[in-house]
Amino acid sequence: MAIELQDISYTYMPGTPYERKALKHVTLSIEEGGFVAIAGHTGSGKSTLLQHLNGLLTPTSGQVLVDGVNLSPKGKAEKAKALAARRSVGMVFQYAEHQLFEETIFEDIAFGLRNFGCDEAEVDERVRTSMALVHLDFETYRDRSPFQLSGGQMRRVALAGVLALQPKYLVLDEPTAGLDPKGRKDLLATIGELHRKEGTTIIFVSHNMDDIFQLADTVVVMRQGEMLLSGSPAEVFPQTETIAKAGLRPPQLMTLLTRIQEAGVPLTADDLLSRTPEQAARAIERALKSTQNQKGRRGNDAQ
Amino acid sequence: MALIELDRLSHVYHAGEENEHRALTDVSLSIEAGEFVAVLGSNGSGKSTLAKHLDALLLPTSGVCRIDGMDTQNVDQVWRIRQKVGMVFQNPDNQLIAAIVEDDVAFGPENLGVPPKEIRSRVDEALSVVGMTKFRSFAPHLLSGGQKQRIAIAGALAMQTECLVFDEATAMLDPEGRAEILAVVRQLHKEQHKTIVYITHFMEEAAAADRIIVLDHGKLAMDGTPREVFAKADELQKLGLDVPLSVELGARLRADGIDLPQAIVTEDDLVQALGAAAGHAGKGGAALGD
Amino acid sequence: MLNNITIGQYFPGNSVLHRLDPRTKIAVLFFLIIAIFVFDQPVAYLVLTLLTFGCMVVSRVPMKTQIGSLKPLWWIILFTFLIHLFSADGRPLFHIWILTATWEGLVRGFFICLRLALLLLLSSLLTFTTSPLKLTDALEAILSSLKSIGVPAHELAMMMTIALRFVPTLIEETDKIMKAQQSRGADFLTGSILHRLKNVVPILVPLFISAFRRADELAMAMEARCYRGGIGRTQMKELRFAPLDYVAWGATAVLMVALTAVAILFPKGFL
Repeated sequence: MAIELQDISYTYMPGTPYERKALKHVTLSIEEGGFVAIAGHTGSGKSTLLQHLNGLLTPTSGQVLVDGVNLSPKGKAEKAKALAARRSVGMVFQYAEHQLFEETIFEDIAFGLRNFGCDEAEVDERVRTSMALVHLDFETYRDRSPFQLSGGQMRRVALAGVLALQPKYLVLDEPTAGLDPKGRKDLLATIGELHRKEGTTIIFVSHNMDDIFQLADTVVVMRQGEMLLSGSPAEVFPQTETIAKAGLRPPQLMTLLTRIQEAGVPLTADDLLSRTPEQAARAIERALKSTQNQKGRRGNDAQ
Repeated sequence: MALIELDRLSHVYHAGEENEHRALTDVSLSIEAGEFVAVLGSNGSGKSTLAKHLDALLLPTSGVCRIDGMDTQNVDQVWRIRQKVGMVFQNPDNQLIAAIVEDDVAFGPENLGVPPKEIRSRVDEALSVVGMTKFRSFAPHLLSGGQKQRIAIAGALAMQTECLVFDEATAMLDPEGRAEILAVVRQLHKEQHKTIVYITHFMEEAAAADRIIVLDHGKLAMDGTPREVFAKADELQKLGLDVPLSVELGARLRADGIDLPQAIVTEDDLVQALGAAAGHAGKGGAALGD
Repeated sequence: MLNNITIGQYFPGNSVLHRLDPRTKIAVLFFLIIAIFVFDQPVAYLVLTLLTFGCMVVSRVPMKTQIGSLKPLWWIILFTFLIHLFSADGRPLFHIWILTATWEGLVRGFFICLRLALLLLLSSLLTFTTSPLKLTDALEAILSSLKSIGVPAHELAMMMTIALRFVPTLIEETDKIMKAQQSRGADFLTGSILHRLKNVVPILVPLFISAFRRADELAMAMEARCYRGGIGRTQMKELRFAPLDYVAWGATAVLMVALTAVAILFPKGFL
């Protein structure tokens, strides 16, 4: 089971002087259970790409299949199926807290459930579960106004509103934009948990290559509406020249480790791909020890 | 006399009401002309409230805020204070007024009644300083976030301000945009000797400053050079803040018994120290402690 | 879904018409409209028609786009023509049912429609060749002559400037909020009117909140840049008449005098 984009192209305002090709022949398959990051400079088409995943945009050419179901079908019978398929893809927009509107947090999270015709018992049940997933205490927060919360908390409410619909695939556009370091870390941890514990497939756009490097198992690099690279972070990020062409910079940790290597610390190619500062520190220690041993041995030989 | 002087400054929002909120408590500090000061703090630490006092956009509930000797409470001097201190706010979309880039840069001097010819030359210069001359006739909504913020900087420069206050001006930008802004800020500080007050929650940006002030729940928590402040990694983390990657890595290595100097702040520091450690190891193997 | 909206219909360019001062263009348009309504001699029509087409060619805006500006009022033009065709007295042309078309009706209908078309084409020409910004400047200049009778010229112009600046931003924002709520199963397009009205709430509330937040932040940014209303304010771009404008003014004056002379000397027309 997977989301498949088959040769999709998308043109904004076709036939006008403002016509713009935002996507050009993108073919991409996102397997269930994956943790996929989409990277690209502003205007690379990554947001347009995201909006195809749950049918908010219909490709100008090509098709989008979710678990084998075409999202923009012709016949009536297929349309019902397509609707269900769209609903299995949850979408969290950039600055998602800007979509909140209800008087209480409970009601805002319940909005989608009510639209999908859940009964009250189920609404209650699912709001509880999704609030737990984003670490908001149900009793404390259910009756509060979402507008009294901090930015990070508001974003959690918005995320809960999408999680309540129990999406199999969760799409997030810049989920940590504008948050402070703690808010960022907490939210990324929550997304990581959703992937690990709930088995939700995560597809996210991020500007932060270090976040991508740490979390994702697949990276897709976009440039001017085309897919430039895709693969595991270990495959993609060492291609620094291609990454630079896409207007991106490699992860800070990787750049730093490369510089340390150039300064004479014998790090291996694998060491350079350390994903966390912890791993990096261990790699550096190992490398330093090896220089010591080597020199030590040479010293012994000389004697 | 210092350019900015705060004496036991406190600010309370909605004083006396049900939702009373104390944002700043007894903050005293002074900033000299020509300094580059970064202000750190997690959400709700009061750093934005502090910034708005520097431009007389908020007035102290108690205590005093003086800009170049002028008390911000003095209504007659508000306009002079705002000519001295320019602000760049967080949201790039909500601080550009005109529908064309150069008109926006001209907005400040127009308000000050500067003669048209001089406005033109100030606008041209400000745009060239921030490297946006090419985009002078663009509509703001066609620019990237970093470009919009550079226009906002140009708008403040055109008023010939001595001090620029950045109120989380990079929070909504992508890494390229952040790098653009930081480069402009450094250049303004170095070449034009502007006083910079730079509020941020990105530690790498704060490391570029001469001095870092840390706020916590409206109180002054730390004040020192980046080296001094980042040496207290544990304390910073307790305040919900990070340390730069190089500081974190240095601290981890040191904790594991690798002999590194305390004063590692920038990536250059770390690279140099490790290069030396590897070199030393080669010569005598004495650099590795046990 | 909201991508297709553009404000105004300005066509960037550098033609003579683009370069004219916006105040000149508004004034000339004003006089030409008067001329179109007042002078009904065939020779006047001929001159005004030629002038209009001349301007259309000179503007270098694609002809198809310019003619297209007649489209929204196509039905009104046709309707006016038919009314005149069948209501005028004179030599019968043909009969349909109880209606009689006359030669006089045909001629009069044609000229009335020509008037309407010229009117539309000329006004569109103004918006095709003048950016909304310049129109705002011109409006402020024209209104400020009315300041003495209490017209808040500066404030009106500032409102227009800000509106021009924020319309694209708010359109983008609306689009995003609609998509976000659609992703949560909101449906704005089907159901009864009441149902659809109810469904607008999830769009309007966030949009209002955001608009107020923007207004608040913008006000603060304006204050920080020493904004205190129109008093003591100067402008970088002062509108200044160039030789080209004097030519336009002169030509318009000559045209008006000539048409008036024709109207007086040949009240019945000479063609």
